[in-house]
Amino acid sequence: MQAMKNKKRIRCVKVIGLGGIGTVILPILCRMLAHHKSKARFILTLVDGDKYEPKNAVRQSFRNYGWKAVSKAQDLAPVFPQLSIRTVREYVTEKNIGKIISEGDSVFLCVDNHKTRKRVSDYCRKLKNIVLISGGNELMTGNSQIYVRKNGRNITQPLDEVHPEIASPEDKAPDEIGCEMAIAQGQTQLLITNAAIAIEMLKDFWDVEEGITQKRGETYVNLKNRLVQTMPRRPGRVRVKYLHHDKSKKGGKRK
Amino acid sequence: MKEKEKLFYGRTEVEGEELQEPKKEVPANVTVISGGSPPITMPLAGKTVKYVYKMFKTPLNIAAKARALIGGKQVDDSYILKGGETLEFVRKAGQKG
Repeated sequence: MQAMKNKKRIRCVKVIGLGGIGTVILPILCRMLAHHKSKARFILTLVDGDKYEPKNAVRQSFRNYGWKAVSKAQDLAPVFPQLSIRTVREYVTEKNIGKIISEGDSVFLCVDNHKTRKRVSDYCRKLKNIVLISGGNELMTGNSQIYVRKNGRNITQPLDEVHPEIASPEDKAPDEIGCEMAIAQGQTQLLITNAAIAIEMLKDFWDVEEGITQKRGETYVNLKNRLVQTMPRRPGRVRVKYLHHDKSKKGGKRK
Repeated sequence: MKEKEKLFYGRTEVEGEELQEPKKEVPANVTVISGGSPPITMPLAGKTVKYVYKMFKTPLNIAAKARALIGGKQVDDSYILKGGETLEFVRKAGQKG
């Protein structure tokens, strides 16, 4: 019985995509998990099928070239011995997604294409309990979306609900394109935009941990006018303000 | 006859005497948002979503196929706005990461 009490709860956090946003998220996320109030034991899984190259150093933080997942695990493991860090040296595909994402996970999706966002969002719809936090950016703008499912019910909207560009992605996932095409798809990005989106994603995670999901949904960041806006993304029917209802049916004024 | 006076929009109204000046009806305010741009609040009640889209397409940089939401619920172009509503044109999600 005592052994049962002493046994720590195990929680899994996955970070998919270890590029500009992913590498900013990791050190902060690891510190949050290592000193988490729940005292749970966290297993952090790093997922990326790409390798770090010298050109990545402009925006991405790493010490060693090679597999991104392995390189980041080597960086973080000595600093955060409280965490179990695992690596997956693959892109997320239809075949391996079931092995990467499981029931009850918290997933940070920091990829650079809508095809993978759609793939992961669709898979998460099938799970009963999941927290999916996705971020993406352009040069100076970007957004963070949170998709929460609890006991088989959507608490917030899936990623593609109001985004036709994710629902019908025109781009390709990295497992579908060759290297030349991948380079052609590469666009200029700013580290500060990556960092701004990473912070919003971490704020979403913190909100979920604190039990605040009602007002969350999608957060827009615009560095040009230094604006951050959060729009709720509630699923299904949304109550329209009472003002638009027939007051006579309600019987009296609303306080 | 005792005259009861009360203030009405800065003017004195005498009981039994009707104001001759017709009331000017000002449309109620609607807030228009497109993620990442400063929200705009204007008297747009009674206008359609299509009208507002055309009006703010350029200043708010609204995408051609942007979905329009009222209180998180998707509405058509022909939807007539009511006072106090917040109309959101959903901005495209960032692609890179």
